[in-house]
Amino acid sequence: MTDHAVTVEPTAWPEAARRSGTIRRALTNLIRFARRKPFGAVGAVIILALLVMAVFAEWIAPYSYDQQIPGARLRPPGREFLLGTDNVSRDIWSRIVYGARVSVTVSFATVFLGNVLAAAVGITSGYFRGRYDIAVQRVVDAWQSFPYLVIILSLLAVMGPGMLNVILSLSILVAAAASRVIRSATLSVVENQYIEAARALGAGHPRIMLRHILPNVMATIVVITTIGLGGIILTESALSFLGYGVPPPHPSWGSMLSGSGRTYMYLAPWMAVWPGVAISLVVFAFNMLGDALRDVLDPRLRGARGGAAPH
Amino acid sequence: MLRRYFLKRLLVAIPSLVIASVIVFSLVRLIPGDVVVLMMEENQYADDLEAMRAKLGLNRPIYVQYFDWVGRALVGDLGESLYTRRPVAQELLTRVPVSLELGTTAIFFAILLGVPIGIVSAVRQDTARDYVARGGAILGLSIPGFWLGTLAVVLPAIYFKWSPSIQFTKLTDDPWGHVAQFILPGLLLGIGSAASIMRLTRTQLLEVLRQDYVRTAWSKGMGERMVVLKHSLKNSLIPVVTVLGIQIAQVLSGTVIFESIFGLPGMGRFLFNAITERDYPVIQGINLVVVTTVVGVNLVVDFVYAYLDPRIRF
Repeated sequence: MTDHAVTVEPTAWPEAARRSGTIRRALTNLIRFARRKPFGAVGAVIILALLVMAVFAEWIAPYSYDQQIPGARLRPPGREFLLGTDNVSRDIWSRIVYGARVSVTVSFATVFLGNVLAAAVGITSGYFRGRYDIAVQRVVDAWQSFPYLVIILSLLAVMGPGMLNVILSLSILVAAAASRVIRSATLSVVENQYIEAARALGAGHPRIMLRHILPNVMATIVVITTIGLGGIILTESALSFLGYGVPPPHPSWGSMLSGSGRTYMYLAPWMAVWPGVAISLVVFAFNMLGDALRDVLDPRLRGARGGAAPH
Repeated sequence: MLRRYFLKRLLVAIPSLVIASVIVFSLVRLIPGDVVVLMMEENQYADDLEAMRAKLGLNRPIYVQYFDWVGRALVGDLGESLYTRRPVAQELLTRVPVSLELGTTAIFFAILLGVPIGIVSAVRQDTARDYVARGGAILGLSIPGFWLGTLAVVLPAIYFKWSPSIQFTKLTDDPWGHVAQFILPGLLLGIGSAASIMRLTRTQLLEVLRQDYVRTAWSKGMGERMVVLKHSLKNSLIPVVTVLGIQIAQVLSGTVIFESIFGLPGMGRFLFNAITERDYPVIQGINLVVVTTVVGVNLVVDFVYAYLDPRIRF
């Protein structure tokens, strides 16, 4: 028994030490990042707040998103209702808190799906090159020739509105754009000698792509993901504004600015103001963080894109 | 050399356009069967399922459908609206100019704002003005256009008792009123593009300002105005031309929203209505026109780029 404990101790201890060292290093890196890129850090804080709102909406929001509070129709912002109430007596602050959940779900699911697809297409395209690459690039070209709102609305016209369909159609669009960037990153990674070495050691194509190329284009993926998230939130809100996004009564920031509420905005301008502030603030945060991450992780991408898609 | 480059670009653009047309064509074929039933019952587009499918051209072999559609499109026949029964091409003839005017106004404002602010930002790098401009640009990329449009309609109505007219004024009725109605939506639509153009102008100019020939210009004792505007700007604006191609697609997306908010009878609003009415021939027609426009504009942009910068022809 004692022998056993003695043999376990020395292996367990360095393990714990190593872990705490990693955490400390991560913290130091974080602080260094915040010092070098204060705007990026502000963006990160706003995004953190968004995530907290999305996850803990039930605890943060004073009312439910569809709760109609008797006698509280079109109240201006004040002590009782932080951001006022709308034309069917719902608390706007609560709806914005729950709306964060919609934005986060749609944007993270889209960016995940889109980037997995983009990585698969981009890495294989940049790795194999040749005819396959040319064919894939022409298809990507074709997709990118469509104005994003035109093609997504058309897709949704066929598939019908709804959160899942919004996510699916948006992720195809995200994938097309992202695969371009990942492909060009792959093209330069493939030139490295360690790829040749791996090949000489007998590694197969899947192994080279997964173990040697993917980790090396990860920085690029992180940057385009962060900038992409803002763009997706904007597009989702535009779709919801047009009535083809997440269906009511789920509160999407975009749909809060449209529908029957629009006629009441002249009486209650706060209905028109706050959802837009929420969208702008969050997208602003993602853009700032994305910019900062790009400068730190992958300066090559500078100027590659004008930032998130507007509107 | 220039001609070879043109041919090469053309050879890239054509397959893209063909693939895009296949995408547009496939869209309608993705309609679930129950939607066809819905179109028949809800919108009363046909008496029975067979007639409905015939109307959509779904009752023939798929390749016949495609070539028939492309063949007709090439001679300007985009089919007929299920809703109004009018030829799609005829309807587009009156609507495309409206979107074109809106888009041109937007790009005009985008360049008018983006280029000068980008220049000031680069020349005064890391000053307060630069930070304000850069922050403003990120903000411009972050604010949703439909929100700006909404505020522009709602807020002045409350505080100044004024609101932009949502009644369309024809050029022939009132030329000034016609142009004026595009100013506000065009400006708002152009903000996102202005931000992109500002950022690109800034980074490009910064790069050029570090070049040797610019240092030579400085050391010859030239004034700032001369160095920046005469020597550096031209070279830094070349890549900005390419971004215009991307902005065309952005702006066309924006027309869907701005035409709806400001009551402009353009192509974007036509598309939006068609989607609401499940008017698939119209959706198909607009998509084809839009994608051809984007590919065409990008081709022109590439040619202009090659003309301005001989280096890229090689």
